Amino acid sequence: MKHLLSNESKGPVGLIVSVIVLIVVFSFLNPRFASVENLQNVLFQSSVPLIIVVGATLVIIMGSIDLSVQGVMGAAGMAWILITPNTRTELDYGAWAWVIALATGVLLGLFAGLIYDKLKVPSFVATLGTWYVGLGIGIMLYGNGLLPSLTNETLARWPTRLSLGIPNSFWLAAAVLLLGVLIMNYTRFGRGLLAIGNNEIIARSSGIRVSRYKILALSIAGGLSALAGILATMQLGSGSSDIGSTQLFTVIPAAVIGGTALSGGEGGIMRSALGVFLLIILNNGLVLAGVSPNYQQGVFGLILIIAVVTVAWPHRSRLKVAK
Amino acid sequence: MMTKTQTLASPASFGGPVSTAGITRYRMVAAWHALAPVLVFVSMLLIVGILNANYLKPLGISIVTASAAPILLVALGQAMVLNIGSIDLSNAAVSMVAAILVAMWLPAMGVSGILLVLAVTVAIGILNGAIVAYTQVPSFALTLGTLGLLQTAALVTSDSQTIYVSENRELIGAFYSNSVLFSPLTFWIGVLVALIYWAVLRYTRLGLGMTAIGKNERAATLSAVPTNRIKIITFAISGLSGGLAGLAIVAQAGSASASGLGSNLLLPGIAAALVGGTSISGGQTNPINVVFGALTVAFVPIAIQAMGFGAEAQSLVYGLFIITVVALTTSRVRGAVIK
Amino acid sequence: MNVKSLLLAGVSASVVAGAAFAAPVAKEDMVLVVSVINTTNPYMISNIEGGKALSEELGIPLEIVNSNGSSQTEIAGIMSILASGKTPIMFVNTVASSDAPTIVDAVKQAGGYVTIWWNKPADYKPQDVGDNFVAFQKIPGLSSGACGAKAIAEAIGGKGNVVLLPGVPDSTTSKTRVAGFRAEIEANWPDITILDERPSNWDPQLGARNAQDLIVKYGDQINGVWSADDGMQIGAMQSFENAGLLDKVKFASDGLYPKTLEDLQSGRGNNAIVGETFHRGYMASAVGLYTAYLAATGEIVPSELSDDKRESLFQLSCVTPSNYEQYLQYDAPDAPAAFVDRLIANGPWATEPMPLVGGGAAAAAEW
Repeated sequence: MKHLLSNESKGPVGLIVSVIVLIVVFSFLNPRFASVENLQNVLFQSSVPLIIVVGATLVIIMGSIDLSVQGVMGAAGMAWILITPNTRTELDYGAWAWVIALATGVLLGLFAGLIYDKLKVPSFVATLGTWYVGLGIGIMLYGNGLLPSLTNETLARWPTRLSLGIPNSFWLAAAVLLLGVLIMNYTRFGRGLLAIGNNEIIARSSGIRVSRYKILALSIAGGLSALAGILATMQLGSGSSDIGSTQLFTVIPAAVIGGTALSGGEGGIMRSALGVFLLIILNNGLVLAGVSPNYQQGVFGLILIIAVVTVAWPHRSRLKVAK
Repeated sequence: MMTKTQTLASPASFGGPVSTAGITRYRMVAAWHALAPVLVFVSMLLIVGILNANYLKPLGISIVTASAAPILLVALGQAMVLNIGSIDLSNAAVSMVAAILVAMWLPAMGVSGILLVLAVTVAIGILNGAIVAYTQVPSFALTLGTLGLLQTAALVTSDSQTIYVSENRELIGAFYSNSVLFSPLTFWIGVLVALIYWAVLRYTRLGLGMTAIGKNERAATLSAVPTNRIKIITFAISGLSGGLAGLAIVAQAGSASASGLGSNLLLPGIAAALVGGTSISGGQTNPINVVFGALTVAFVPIAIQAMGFGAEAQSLVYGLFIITVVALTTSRVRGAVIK
Repeated sequence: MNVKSLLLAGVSASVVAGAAFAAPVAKEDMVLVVSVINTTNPYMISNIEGGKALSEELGIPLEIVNSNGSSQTEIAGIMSILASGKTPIMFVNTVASSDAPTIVDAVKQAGGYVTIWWNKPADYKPQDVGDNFVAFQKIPGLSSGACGAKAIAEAIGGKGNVVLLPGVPDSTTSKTRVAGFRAEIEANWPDITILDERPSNWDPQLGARNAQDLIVKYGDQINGVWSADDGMQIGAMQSFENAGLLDKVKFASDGLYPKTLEDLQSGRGNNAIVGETFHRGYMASAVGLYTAYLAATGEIVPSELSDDKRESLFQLSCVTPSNYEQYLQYDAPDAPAAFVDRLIANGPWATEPMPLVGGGAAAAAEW
């Protein structure tokens, strides 16, 4: 019993239990919640945040934060749709559209990383600025032309089409999650990020190439935000510079609820993913239970507070520094 | 910064002679840091003034200071919290709730309504501070949660409608319609608050304790600084500042709504605190510089318009501006860890 | 009454008289300003087109304020133009009703002239403010909602369930359209039930998400979907298509956006779209700007206008799959310029296809 409640297992166990409790409660409130159709709906809605949370976790683990998510999604999403068969332009770059859009995200992440590392601007501000820059690029790409909608039926249907009973968009997210886990646990880069987050000065002195890893982490996060932007554009069926709206305030709380400490050095991809599921299920359940949308933010906030207090309570100590 | 050769050459001089070159460099860095926000604002003013002198006329000044007032008040609260090394993501939401409550209570209760609202905002701050201090939860996470709760509170109390101040509007409108030096009183209240906070930080034990916590919390605790009490007071100050910002919003708009004026002050507030030279890791802030930070942030859209950037480019230019301005004003101590 | 108060009365009377007869503004001192909520919504893009067309015709430079959905940005942007020294002739699409008084006060201080479209506080009247607040103009919301309600009701045979997607809950435009929809259903269609209502803030993405959740919640019980504007409908239709339900459900909305017109013409989803309303952004902005321009040059004196010209309702056209062809001409590339020509010839209140149809205090607030 003591082992169950000890620090190490507290995180994931508590999280999994909460998810199960939520599922039970919501199924009770509205039986349609537990239907296969709804489960597919939940997986579909989680796909985009899951892709983003992988990049966000990498950045948070090294002790920084990435606020640029929504802007990069807008820029990359717009770039992708304008060169994929759509109602506005006749261009069709095929696979190159993906490359160019992903490159946009990586470049924006690189931009943020360079400003953060070389100019010594706090990541908060560097990525905040990149958010606006990305959003601006998205708006400028949109211009004042026709709404660019996908004309290619297969592409538009792909995210919702089921393979083995699961939406394709979720398979993509699962692949990204797997990649993230491999990076975190099996590469020097991943372990280096943990070290940087834990204590940057010691990490630097032990020969870890801190600058390179920081820039790399932000670039990867940018690329993943771009991928999420492409997927979101496919899901909506048309381009918008605002395709990333509400994602930031879903992904960051999800990572925090999952146990990724904002001070760095702690956390994991799968735990952040559990956090995403928790929040999406919560949102979905509230809608099905008929709760007014006004209460959504409040419920989120309450759950977040309860989650972090529960995690922090056993670690209290007079000399602990929690910022 | 001490030069390496000096310290190595005199092992017995722990705290002994330091090179004059090092001291001068240190003084220059400190001086730049103290003046940077002012210089950045003034240079922006000059550039815009050269492009179109009309922007510097009384109307232009009243416009900048009027839009800077709520940002300034939110930024001051945020700066105090950043100073102890935490962050308060909820103080903009506090100002929104305060604005709605003032709009609802002013007609019936007059001045006591205003005081009651300020008391409520202080209470919210105390709650934030108490949870952060006693459960040792990271302030980012906690205030993110409080932000959600406050957003729901705002929507529910206003029923998603705009609340118009039906009576006694002059009681609060007076702060907006009366001007000194072309700037509305709401702005001067912000300046007064900045001066008070500056004095607290510099001359009171409370203020020195706050900075100590920001610079090195463990050392502060071990030096018998009452960290928990100070944290609670700091968050209460942030709540109060948010409440004052809410008053400024209602003074200007004559109404309050969860989606109208004042509903996105969070990021400008943080940006203003940072542009004003506040360090995001704690231990460094100057409320008087935050005034210039707020003026700068309020001025950026005007500068963008003056420089003729099209409507579509506004976001892009805003992002580059913010990065540039913070890059110029942020403190860079060599060897320090930038988060 | 002693001499002092007589003197004061005299002074204030002459000040008031002086203010009422403001000198006409010279063209070189003017700047046309169009303030929109964002630059990615087709209606807003059309607003900008109208401003450009009028600017070319009158030879006055144009400035655009993009509020990006934020009242803060809107007011800061407008104020920056006011500070630039020229007299602003403004058309404002307010982000929130509560922004109107702040904007109008600022314009008045700067000696400019402004027409507000769509949203303002109900008891905030142009007549109380003065000549600088030239007019408040809108297209009736009640009839928009009623048009959509009738179209869906007839298409589903008078019996069934519908769901609603309002816009921003705080907006008068959204409230009046929803009220119009509900009133029509209540009055004439007793066998139709409104299942649910989920505000989607004029956002296609949110419309898509809410539609998805409604589909899960009600499944094939849904026979009709009404959205307060086409943006949200586009998102909703995407969700229904993803769920394979698009050809079983009927849609109606407001705006006849280019994409919606396309879907209407192609009969997408077994003729899913059954009702729309027609009005174009370029018409609204051109009329609004021109009204303010006439006030600035002194050709019209706002205080002498009848009530329905200070708070105005303009004609809304109800569109169905059978009569949409007559509206295609208004989307031709030169349509804004053609409209502006007619506008200058006939004045702001008598230009087809959007003449003045009503107004005055009570009507404007309710409609």
